[in-house]
Amino acid sequence: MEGLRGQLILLSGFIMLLGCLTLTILLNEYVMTYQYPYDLSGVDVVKSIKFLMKRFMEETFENITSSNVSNETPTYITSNLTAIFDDLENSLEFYYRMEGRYVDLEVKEIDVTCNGSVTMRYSISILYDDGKLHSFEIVEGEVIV
Amino acid sequence: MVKGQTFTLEAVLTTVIVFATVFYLTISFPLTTPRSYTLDEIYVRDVFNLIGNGTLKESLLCWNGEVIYGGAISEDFNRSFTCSTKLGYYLRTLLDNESFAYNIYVTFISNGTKRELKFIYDGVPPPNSILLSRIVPIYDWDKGSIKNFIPDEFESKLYNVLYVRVIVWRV
Repeated sequence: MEGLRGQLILLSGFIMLLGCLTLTILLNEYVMTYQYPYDLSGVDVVKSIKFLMKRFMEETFENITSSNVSNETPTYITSNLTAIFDDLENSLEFYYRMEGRYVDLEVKEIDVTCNGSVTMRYSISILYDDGKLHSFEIVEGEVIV
Repeated sequence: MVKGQTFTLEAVLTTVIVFATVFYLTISFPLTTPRSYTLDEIYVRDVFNLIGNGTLKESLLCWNGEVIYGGAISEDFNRSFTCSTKLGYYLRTLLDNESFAYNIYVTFISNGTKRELKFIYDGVPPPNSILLSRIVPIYDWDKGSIKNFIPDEFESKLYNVLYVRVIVWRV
């Protein structure tokens, strides 16, 4: 009789342990799926960064060039563009880190020439890694104002 | 009495173990093909590729900071902007009319830390929702009411960088 009582207590404890474990797993699953809905993969992110970089270079170059007609020297334009790019790059890295994505942007070349019109040639590398997708892309272009 | 209870508990425990074993065996084998995009996911991605090419930034620039409850079909929508925007038309036509609900959140940087605002809120999304994000840079030369509540974070001509998070689901 005493042996059976002991066995009963042990079995009850074991079942309660299983119950707690199951509940924890279910709660964890629920919280995780609630917090992170299904994401549309890194391919879309890389495409959107490429588009953002092209638009950034065009918009920034046009605005810096047009708002400072008296100071349109290649050095002035390049230093301003680089300063804005650095801030944007840090912000991008900060935001994508929250999603578990590694993004590294680097200006490979900014070449500004003034011959009547102002021309800029640029080349930016994009390194992307999210564990599933590893990608390296180069965005190049030319803007004339 | 105690003997009966013990046997019952042993039976329960055996059942649990058997079920756990069968469940584990079932999930161990790939019974389904690898997950591919659904038509909804492709559609939603295309919609936000379209909106993200200018319309989203134009709308955010003249947003007054008030949360829009109920999506683009709600009466709150036009009251939350200080200029006319095509965003409402796109969202109504491409998402609301196609039975999609969506939440849009806007995150910005303030003193080096992130702060999130609700832009459009349509309720609590289910677990199988589609998540998208877009980065929207705001420059010193951009004009709009959003600058009333989002600070100039950078010394360069970059004003702030918005991280727009979109959650879409079928209703």
